[in-house]
Order: sequence, then C-alpha cells, then structure tokens
Amino acid sequence: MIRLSNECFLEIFSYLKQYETLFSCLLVSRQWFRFVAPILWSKPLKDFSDARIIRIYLSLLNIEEQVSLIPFDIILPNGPKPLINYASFTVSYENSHLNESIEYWIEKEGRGSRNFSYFDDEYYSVTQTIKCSLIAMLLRTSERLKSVTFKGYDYGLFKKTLQ
Amino acid sequence: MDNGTSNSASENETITLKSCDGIEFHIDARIANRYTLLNNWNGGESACIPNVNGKVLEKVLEWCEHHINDPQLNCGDDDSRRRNTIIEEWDENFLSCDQDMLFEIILAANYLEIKPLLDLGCKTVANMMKSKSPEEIRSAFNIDNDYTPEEEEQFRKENEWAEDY
Repeated sequence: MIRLSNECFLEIFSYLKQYETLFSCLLVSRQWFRFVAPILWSKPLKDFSDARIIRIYLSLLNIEEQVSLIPFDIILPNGPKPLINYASFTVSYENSHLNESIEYWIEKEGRGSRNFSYFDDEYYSVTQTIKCSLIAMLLRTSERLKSVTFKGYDYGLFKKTLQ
Repeated sequence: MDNGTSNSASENETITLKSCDGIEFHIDARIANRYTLLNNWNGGESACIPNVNGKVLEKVLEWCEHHINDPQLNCGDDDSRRRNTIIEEWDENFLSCDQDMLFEIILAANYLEIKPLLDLGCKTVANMMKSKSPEEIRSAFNIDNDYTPEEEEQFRKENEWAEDY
C-alpha cells in the first residue's frame, strides 16, 4: 500500500475546511496531531462562540494572570493542565466572539458564590477582567501571533495590533 | 529543437521522457516548457525521470496534455485556489482511480513540481476524509495509532469543541 509523504499530508490538511474533519485527523496519530493542532487552534473563536475553548485557555493562565480574577470568586478550571499549550498556536486574534464565549463559560461553570446578574456592573467587570487575563496569556504564549484586532467597546481598552 | 529554456516551443515539437522503468513517452514540448522540473530535464532529445514509473508517468502526462491550454497560475493565487474546493468533472473522472494510483499521482506531482495537479490530488484526498472517524481515516491511509489510550482520551476532551463545527 502506497503511503503519502508528510509534505503531501500537510498540503492536504490545508484544504480541510470543517473543524469536525480536522478533529478526526487530530486523533489519528501523534504525528498528525503535530500537523493539525496548529491549524485547529490558529484562530478559534473567530467564527463561533464556545465555552469549552475558554475553559482550555483559562487553564493555561499563570499565577499573575489568575490573581486579578480572585476578587470575583469565579471557579477556574481545576482539572489537569492541557497536555499542550494550545494558545501558543494562535495566529490571529479577533475579539468578536470572546465576550459571548466568556459569558457562556460563566453561566456553564465559572460562577462562584457571587450572584451578579447579566445587567450588573460587576458582570461587566468580571467579563472584562477575564478578557484582560486571557489576552495577557495569549500575548505571553503565542509565538505565531501575527495580528490582534479589537472592535467595538474594547477598542479603547486594548487598542493594540502586533505586526 | 531549442534547448528547453525558452517558452516558445511550437505545437509540432516533441521531446522524449523516459520513466524510471525505462518506458518512453513522446510529449508535446509545450508540456515540458510549462513545468519547471520537466523543463530542467529537457536538455537533449530525451530525458530520464527517476522515481516515477511508466504507469504513473502516463497518467501524469495525460493530465498535462488535457490541461495544456489552461492559464498559468502565479504564486499570488495560492489562497484563492485553496478556498476553492470544487473539482471539474474531467479531473474528477481522471482521479477516480484506485487509491494507490491516486497517491502515486500526488507523490509524482509533488516530485515533478506540477502544482495544479498536486492541488487537485490533495483536494481529492481532503474530500475523502470528510466526516470520517479517526479509525476510518487510519485504516484508509494505513496509519498506526501510536497514542496511549489515556493520551487519546485527554486530547479528545481538550479538542471536543471542534467536533461540533
């Protein structure tokens, strides 16, 4: 049976459009993981919102990035650290789905004893603080980052684009 | 015959290519002029192509002949080609061969630097992977699973979001 070279597989992966197919490829072998994980994590949250991505990112925060979250009594993920630093694969970052993803995560698993509601100032503060910590972590860890784009309310807060 | 470095080959010129198992093909010189690597071998009346056997070279040349009048793509078109996953009917029929042949065509196109044929083959394989499970992909592409069960389970959990999009 003929086997394709890694060079050819890399070319093939660049044509895969569905995350679902990339997910299957990721689990094929260790070698394929090394090829596919950087594609899968290059710009997640660009096209959709998902709390599970926020959970992975939050579990990659270092102590300094966690400290600012303490006053809000939120429940950070406490399972084992991810096997890979997925944030290091980020190539371009846009904040469009970040707010929503953070809100999903708070509702799903992040809310501690504090009972703030969506309309409270505190809710706004907590999402903004989480966002700041995540962005600090992305800037710290991602070696491939080419651009960071902020739109809407965040513009003044984080006006920063890396070349 | 000119020395192969010019692009002005006329329709009547032919050159001879020889596959690694010694089979000769007389091809339109315009084909050789179009693709860098074939062109490099076109130093004399015939050229030998190592690494590609007669059966595969015949297919590759059949494709080149069919596409001889296609416009040349430049490197800047890379992204637009990639976004376009549609395959023409002739090409689809051409590549509906057995999987070993498909893989050999891809390897040969990569080796001979025939970029449009390489793209076509890769698109075809990418389409074959659609909606398949990891296990189905492993058996289709003859790849061993070298994950430990624990490792596979954790990677599955960490990336499960992707399954929904």
